[in-house]
Amino acid sequence: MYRLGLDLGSSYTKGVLVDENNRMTDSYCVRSGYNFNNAATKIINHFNEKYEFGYPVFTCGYGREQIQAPFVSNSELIALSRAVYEIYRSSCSIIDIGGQDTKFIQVNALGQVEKFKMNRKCAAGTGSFLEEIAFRLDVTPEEFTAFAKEATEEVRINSFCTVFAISEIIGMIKNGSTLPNIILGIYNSIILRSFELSLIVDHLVITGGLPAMHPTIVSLFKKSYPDTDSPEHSQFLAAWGCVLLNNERKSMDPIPPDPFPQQGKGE
Amino acid sequence: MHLNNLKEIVARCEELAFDLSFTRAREWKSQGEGRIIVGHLPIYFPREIIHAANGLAVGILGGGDKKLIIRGDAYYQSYICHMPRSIIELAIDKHFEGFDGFIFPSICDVIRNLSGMFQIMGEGKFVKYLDFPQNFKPDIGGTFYRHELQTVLDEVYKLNGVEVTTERLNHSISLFNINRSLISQLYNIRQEFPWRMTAADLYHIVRAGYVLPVEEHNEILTNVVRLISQESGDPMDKIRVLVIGAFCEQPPVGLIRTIELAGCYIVEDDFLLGARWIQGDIETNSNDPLESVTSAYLEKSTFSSSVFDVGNPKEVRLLNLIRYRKVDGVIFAAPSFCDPALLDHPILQKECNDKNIRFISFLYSENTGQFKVIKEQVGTFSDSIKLWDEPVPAFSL
Repeated sequence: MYRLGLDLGSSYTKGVLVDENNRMTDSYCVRSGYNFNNAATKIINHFNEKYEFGYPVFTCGYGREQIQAPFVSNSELIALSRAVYEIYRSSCSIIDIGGQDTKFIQVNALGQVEKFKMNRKCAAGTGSFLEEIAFRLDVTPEEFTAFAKEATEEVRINSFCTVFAISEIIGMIKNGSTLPNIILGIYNSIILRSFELSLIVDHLVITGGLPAMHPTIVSLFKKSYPDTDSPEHSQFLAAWGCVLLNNERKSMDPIPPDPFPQQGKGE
Repeated sequence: MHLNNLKEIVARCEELAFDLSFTRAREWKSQGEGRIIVGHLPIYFPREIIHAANGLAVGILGGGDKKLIIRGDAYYQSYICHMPRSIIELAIDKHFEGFDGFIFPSICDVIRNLSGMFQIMGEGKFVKYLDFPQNFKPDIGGTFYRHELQTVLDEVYKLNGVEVTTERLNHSISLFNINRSLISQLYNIRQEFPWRMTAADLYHIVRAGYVLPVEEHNEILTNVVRLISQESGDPMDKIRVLVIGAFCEQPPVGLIRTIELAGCYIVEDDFLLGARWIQGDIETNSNDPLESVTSAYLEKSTFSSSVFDVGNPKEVRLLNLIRYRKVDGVIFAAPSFCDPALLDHPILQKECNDKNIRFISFLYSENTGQFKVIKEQVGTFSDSIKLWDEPVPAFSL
């Protein structure tokens, strides 16, 4: 019987199906929109067509308690750490760049969270920052990566705020800076914001939706920290970690009754 | 208030606690001759003396997330905390109409400056900046403090002519003794059975006492103690935490709820600390009750960032509280730009580090409306303790 992990993030809801050997068998991602339960239901229905999986589902992320299906919720940071540790089996520093937040996590040699830090109110340096700028420049993520490769020199983006950064970028275009150089500057701006949170001491692992959609950013991280890596399915790691984590819990909150007894039981 | 159902009581208390028009206080004033309302700011003010002078001491805790600041920002620099802005906004919008006087306890420069602004704006019939003693010797700090309290009583006497007799003040002291004792019982019950009532509900119930006559609040508290003494609800897999740093500017209720939703039971806090300031009873049959009120401040005050504490350091008192409440960890939650709280945190956190007590720290302001990051931080804190920590070790002081 498979188990389902859901990471209900502010921008996207990610689901993974995990087999009895704790391997990620399949994954699926939808926009979270305004209703986390709708997003979770889409993923549950998607997997329901092909697989038989058990309840409760294991959740993390901002909307982790906002689903109607029976669930056990987890901290996203701990779930993510657990998944990364499952891959590397050693201490490491994690920078997770998500839709609306950036997280730094220091994982020790036992796989435990030693330290963590998150950005505060502002979404500067997160996926939203990039999404907004991409929208204003009318450039897709794929084009972003291609443009960054053509950059000849870096343009430094000074504005912290997304709105001001856009004004600054428009000013740069008017002043003759090329789009590839500006895009490289945008990537480096995100990297600098993440370093402000971090005290990287060893192997650096980059996770979240951003490295998945913008692989160039990982190679830019490597310029500062050569021992940098971003595992496959980096966007789905927290969802996977939710399931792995469940094997280690000492106790669990009571599981709410199943409001959809016909759903997801493989009947 | 004749409500026997906890849900109804909490709903009524929530309504009272966040009634920025202070309806019940004004109503009370209109129901008798010579009644006055005296507003007081955090942290502590001995409400007994106003009660004995036929007055109602009303706690002013800011507009929280219920008041949009438009003009208040013009009165303070951007590096000043949020609460005084909302209090100024409330004053400008005439929320304090019907208040006769205002007490500004000496807790920080911001509150001192706010008292000056109230004087300039002509709010109420008197504005008193109440200097609390930082010398705890009875013949020095005690004499000074007693004089300060007498000044307040003189101001009230000018307004309503009520003489505070020994009998009246002893009676008022006994009512507030009951009040503190009932609140203490609520905290003690929640320590054992935190699932019977949420921290947010407790907050509403205690905060309602800041705007109600003490007799009515005692009735509410008696009912709540009776109701939560009975078994109800189911324990959840949550850690037990102490929240510290919020003694003046109040956290939004959403923040209190977020902490509990993220896997914690708040079993001790310093929200509304003034209601629990005096630890234990004040003498009720003294021939000189004003002296009893004075002595209680010198000898029975709790600890806080605004009190000079050589000889009885707050870090040791925090450790005592951690041990007494059997908490798994500490949450340092302070208002942004609160100098007293933020200057204390390194001292308190070092002590927690030395004693291997887990803690996290974050900032808020009274109108914070986005709790996503705080929820994730608290959730991680809670989960990490549940997954990997042994119980807080016994430590010697």
